[in-house]
Amino acid sequence: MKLRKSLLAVIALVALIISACGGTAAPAAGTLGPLSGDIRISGWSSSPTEDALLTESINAFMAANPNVKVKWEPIAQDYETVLKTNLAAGTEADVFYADIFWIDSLMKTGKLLALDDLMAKSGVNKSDFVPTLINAFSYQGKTYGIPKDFNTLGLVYNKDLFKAAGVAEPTNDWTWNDLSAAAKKLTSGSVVGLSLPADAARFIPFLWQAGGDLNNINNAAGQAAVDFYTGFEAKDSVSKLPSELGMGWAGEAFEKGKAAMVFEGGWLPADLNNNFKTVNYGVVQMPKGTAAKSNLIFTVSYSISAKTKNPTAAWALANYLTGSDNQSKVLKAGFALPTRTALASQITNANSKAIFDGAPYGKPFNYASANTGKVNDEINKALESVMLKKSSVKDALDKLATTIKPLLQ
Amino acid sequence: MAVLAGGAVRRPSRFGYWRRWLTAYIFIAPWLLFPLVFIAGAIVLAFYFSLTNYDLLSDPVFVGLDNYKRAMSDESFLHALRNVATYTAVVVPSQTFIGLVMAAILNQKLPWRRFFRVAWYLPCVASSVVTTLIFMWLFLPDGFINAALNFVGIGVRINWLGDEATALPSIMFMNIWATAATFMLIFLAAMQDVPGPIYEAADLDGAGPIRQFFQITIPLMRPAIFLVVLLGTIGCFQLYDQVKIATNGGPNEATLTVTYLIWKEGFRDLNMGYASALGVILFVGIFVVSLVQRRFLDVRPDY
Repeated sequence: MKLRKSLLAVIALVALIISACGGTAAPAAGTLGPLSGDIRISGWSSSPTEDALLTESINAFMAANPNVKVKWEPIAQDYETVLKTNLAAGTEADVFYADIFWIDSLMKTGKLLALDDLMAKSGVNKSDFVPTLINAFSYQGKTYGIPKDFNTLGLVYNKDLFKAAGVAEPTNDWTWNDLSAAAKKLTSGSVVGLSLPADAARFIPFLWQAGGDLNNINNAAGQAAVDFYTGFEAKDSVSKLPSELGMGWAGEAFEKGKAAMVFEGGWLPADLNNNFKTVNYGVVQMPKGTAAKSNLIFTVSYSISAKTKNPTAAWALANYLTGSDNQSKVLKAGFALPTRTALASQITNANSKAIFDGAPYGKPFNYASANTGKVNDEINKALESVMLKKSSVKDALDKLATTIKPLLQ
Repeated sequence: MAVLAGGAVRRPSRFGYWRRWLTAYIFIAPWLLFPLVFIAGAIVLAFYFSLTNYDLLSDPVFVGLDNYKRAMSDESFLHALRNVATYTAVVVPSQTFIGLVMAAILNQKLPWRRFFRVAWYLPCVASSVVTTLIFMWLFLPDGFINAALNFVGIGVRINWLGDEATALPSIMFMNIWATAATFMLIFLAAMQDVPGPIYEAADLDGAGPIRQFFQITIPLMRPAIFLVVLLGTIGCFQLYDQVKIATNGGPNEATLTVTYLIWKEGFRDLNMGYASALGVILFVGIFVVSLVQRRFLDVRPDY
C-alpha cells in the first residue's frame, strides 16, 4: 500500500516535471486535449473499504492528469436533500452521484450537463452500456448521466432450509406457481417461506410480471399482481412482514433464518458475506410472472453540474470512473455490478450473475414524477392494508388509483 | 482617541451617549444578528414560502392560500392532527401527574432521597435517540415487555410498535417515562419555594399533610403547573424524534405527527411551500393552545 502510494507520487512528480518542462500537458483522455483545474466530486459513502477504492481511483486519475486536482466530498446523510439544497444554492460539486429514483427532477429543471458531445469527443458510445441503464439517464434524447453501477432484485434463498424441507432449489426458470408451492412447503414453526415487505420497491416488478402498470393499477393485471403478492401473507400465511417478525427489513429476517426466501438486491449477499458467513444461501433471478419476466433496476450515475466551470475535466473524471478499467477493478473488489456490456463476461460468481441478468429485461425504479416518495408511500399503505386484512384487494387498489393519479402527472 | 488619551475632561455629551450605545450594540451584535437572521429571518421566510410552491430546484411560485386549502383536505395531515390531539390528551396529564407525585415523594425527608433524585432524573439525561432505540428492543415481539407479560401469566405476543392499535400508546409510554422526571425537577423546585411559615400556620390550624398538599402546595404551585403543562403541550405538538426512529410514522400513519409530516413534505418530498404552510398552522395551534392554557391557569402566585 505504502509502496503503491509512493509509486503514484513518483509517477505524478515525473508527469508534472515532463509537462512543466515540455510546456504541453499530455492529453490523457482521448482527444479532450490538455486538462487542468480543480474538480469537486460528491456522493454518499457506503463503507470505508468502498471509500478507499474510490479514493484510489481518483488518485490514479490525478496521477494521469497532473494538472487536475480532484476533491472527494462525501455527503454523510440525506444525500438527496443535501444535494438539492446545494443545487438551489448553486454550491453543488462538479461531478456527483444521481440516483435514478429522483434524477428526473434534475434533468427536467436543467441542472445537469448534457454529456453527448463530450462522449462523442472521447469516443464513448451509449451502446457500450447496458441499454436499460444508460437509457434511464436520458431525457429528450440527451444523456445526463453515466451509470456507475446497478442492482436488480434476485430471489435469495436459504439452501439449508430448502434441504430441510425437502424442496428442490429454485432456478432461473421458476414461475409464480413454483414460488407459491415452495413458500408453502418451507413454512413451518417460526420460519416463514417468504418475507415480503409492504414496499413498492419489492412489489413493482411483480406488477410488471403480471403485465400491469402503475397508471392503471386497479385493472385486472394490477389486481392479479396485488392478489398474488399479498396473498402469501393474507391468504396462505406463508409470508410475514419484516416488522411482524421483529426485523428491520426483509434481508434481516433472511439473515437470522426467520425467512427461507426474500427478494433483495446485491446488497444482501454483500452483507451476508461480511456479517453472516454461516448462512448457506443462493441467488437466482426473479420468477417469471403470468405475463412476462421483469425486474426492477436500481442504478446511480455520475452526472455533471450544468454550472461546472470545467466541463471537460469533470467529464474526463466521470469517464475515467465509469471506464472499463475502473469498473473492472470495482467488480473484482466485489462491490458493484459493471454497467458496461463488455464486462459481463468478467462476472464469474453465479449469485452476482443472477442479479446482473435482471438488467436486460428490467425497468428502472423511477416513476418519471416529482412525487416518487409519495407514490411509494401510497403503494406501501395499500399493500399493508391488504396484507393485514384491513381491506380487500379491489378496495385498496381503487383507492390507490385515485390517490396516485394526480401524483403521477 | 488622541484627544482622550491626552487627558481631555470626560463629561456626559450627546456624542458620548451615542458612542456608548454603539459600543454596546457592537459587542452584542453577534448574539443579536444570529437570531435575527437564523430565527426571525427564517420565520418570516417560512411565512412567505407557505404562500408559494417551492421545490428548491426552481424558483418559488406564488400560489396564495392554496397550500392551506390543501392542508384542510389532506388526509395525512388530518390524521396527524388527530394523532397529536390523542397523544397530547394522554401524555400531558400523565406526565404532569406523575411528575407531581414524584416531586411530592422526593420532597419528603425519606432515606435514600438523594439516590432517588438522581435515579429518577437519569432518563432525562440520556439522549432521546438512545432511549428510543432501547425501547424499540423492549417492544420487539420477542422483546422484554412481552416476555415480562408472559412471565406474569399474560400470554401475549404483541408487536407493540408494528401494530396500528398499540404503536401510538407505546410511544406515549416511552415519552411519559422519558419526560416526567424533567417536570418532577420543576415541581420539586417550586415545592421548595413555598414559604415554610404557611405550612406552620396550617399545622397550627390542624390541617393534615394530605390537606396541606392539596390546599397549599398545589394552589401555590400554579405557575409551575402552568409552565409544565405548557412545556408538555408544546413538546407533544413537536413530537418527532421518537417517531422518526421507532416507526417512521407507521404503521399505516398510526404514529404520524405534524412535525414528522412537515419533515417528510419538506425534506423528503421537497415541497417546501406546503411544509412551511403546515409549520405555520402548527405555530398558530401552539400559540392558541398556550393562550387558552394561560387563561385557565392563572400564573400569578397567590403569596
